[in-house]
Amino acid sequence: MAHPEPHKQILRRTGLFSAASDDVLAQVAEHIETVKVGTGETLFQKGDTGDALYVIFDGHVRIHDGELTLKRLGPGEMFGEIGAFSEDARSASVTADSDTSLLKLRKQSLQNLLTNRPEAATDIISTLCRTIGNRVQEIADDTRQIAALEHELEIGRKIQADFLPDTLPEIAGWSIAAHFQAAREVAGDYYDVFLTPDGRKLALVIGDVCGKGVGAALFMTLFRSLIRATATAENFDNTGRFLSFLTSESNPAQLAECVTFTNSYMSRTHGRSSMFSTLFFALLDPTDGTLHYVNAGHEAPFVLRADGSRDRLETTGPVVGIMPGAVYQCGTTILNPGDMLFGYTDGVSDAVNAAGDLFTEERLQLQLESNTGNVGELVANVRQAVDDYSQDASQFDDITMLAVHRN
Amino acid sequence: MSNGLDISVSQMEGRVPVSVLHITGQVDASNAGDLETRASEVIEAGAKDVLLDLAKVDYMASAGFRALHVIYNSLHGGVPQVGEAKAPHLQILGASDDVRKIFKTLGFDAYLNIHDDLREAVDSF
Repeated sequence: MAHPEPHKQILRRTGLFSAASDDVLAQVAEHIETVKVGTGETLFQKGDTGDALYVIFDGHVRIHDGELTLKRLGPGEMFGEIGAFSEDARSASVTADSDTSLLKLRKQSLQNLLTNRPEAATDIISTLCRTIGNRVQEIADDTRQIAALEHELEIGRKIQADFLPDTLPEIAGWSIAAHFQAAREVAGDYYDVFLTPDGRKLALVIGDVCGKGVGAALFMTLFRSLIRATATAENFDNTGRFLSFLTSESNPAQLAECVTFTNSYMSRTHGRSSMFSTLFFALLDPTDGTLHYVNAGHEAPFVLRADGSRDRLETTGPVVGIMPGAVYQCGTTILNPGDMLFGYTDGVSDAVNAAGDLFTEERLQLQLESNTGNVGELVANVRQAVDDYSQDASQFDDITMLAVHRN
Repeated sequence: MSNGLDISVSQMEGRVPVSVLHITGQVDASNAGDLETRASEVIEAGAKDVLLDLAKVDYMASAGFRALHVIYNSLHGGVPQVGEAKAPHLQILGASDDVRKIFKTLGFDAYLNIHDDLREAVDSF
């Protein structure tokens, strides 16, 4: 069967036959089959038995493992050679990116060629060695890139850790415990505990930015900083007097103002990113236990009363960052001696086990029954229960808890 | 946790043509992007009014709610303003009690309507 000259030229470009004599090339060309693959059509799947090598005559293909594209190839490039010479299953799938013409050389034809024309073997072996050498080089390059990215993520993780309090304030008559565990290197959860500028009130923050990973982490730093900044910043009033949003005489309206400002800035500046944060922001007066709070779309924290009853601090407004003009009300409760505030993110209630079932709020509530007034112990108990439940399932979401007890 | 999300699209006629996205599975951070992409394809193909059928969604993480906001923005050309009428071009159908509870907690019910009946939902556009 006569084959057009272009086939020979393409074959020579692959390297496998770059130094082959015209005679050998003519013999190879005789065994070439032309295969056409339509756009989106898969030529072979990972795991298939290799029976031929292919050279692209015209068009483009994608070498992939499921959805992950490993490489794109075009005219003159060869693939499937390992499978054609070995008994190994195909290590990746090949799908046409465009209508593609391929030259196909079957395993049997290659073996016949090596038997009948041993002089062709030198080129073939040296090309295969080069191919394997290139792949090793590619793997080394990929490994270096992954290491560089991991290094960057580690830097990100350290920077983000600075956005969380390194120590918790110590207030006479109160105990505070927090737990924070990111699902990945960086997290979308955050919490904060700090004194107002006059040192007389304790600000408590717990929040969860939608999604996970780097995107959520970048937004976490913004939300957390805006709340901290508005809660501690000094501003001028219209008479030129210094004041902060939160003063020792702070009232619920000022607390809501911090959240309103944060929502307004974020939703007008970044709202089109659709990145929102749930946020529980409270101001505690340690002298009498008065707790003013804004709950912006966050899982309602529990108040575990000394008498064993429970209250929930339900939402007083929507999530922060995506709805300009949202209105935030302020709620108030009193933490009496023996009462505990317990805030958490949905990484606790939505933790999954190996079967994919959720830990659920009901299981959390069961754990809260073990409360003896020791904040550190309760937080550790809940964490242990989540770990016992999840067992081998990887942690899917960031987990944050904040507990404050009036002794 | 299953990462599979099945999304099929059907066309219905109310006062206007409505593209209905029927979603099956658990919407989470691993697949919320698929929902955004599918909706974006439908909108780029000319859909002006979209109904999201969540009847077969038994769990929706925050990333799924973010996807709803992304779809809202595409259809309305901007973020929802509080005080305006709820999303005229995006309606929600058949959310489960659990999903509906999260809608309420996050405050998404401030700008999205949830319907129980397909015909009523299609006619609401």
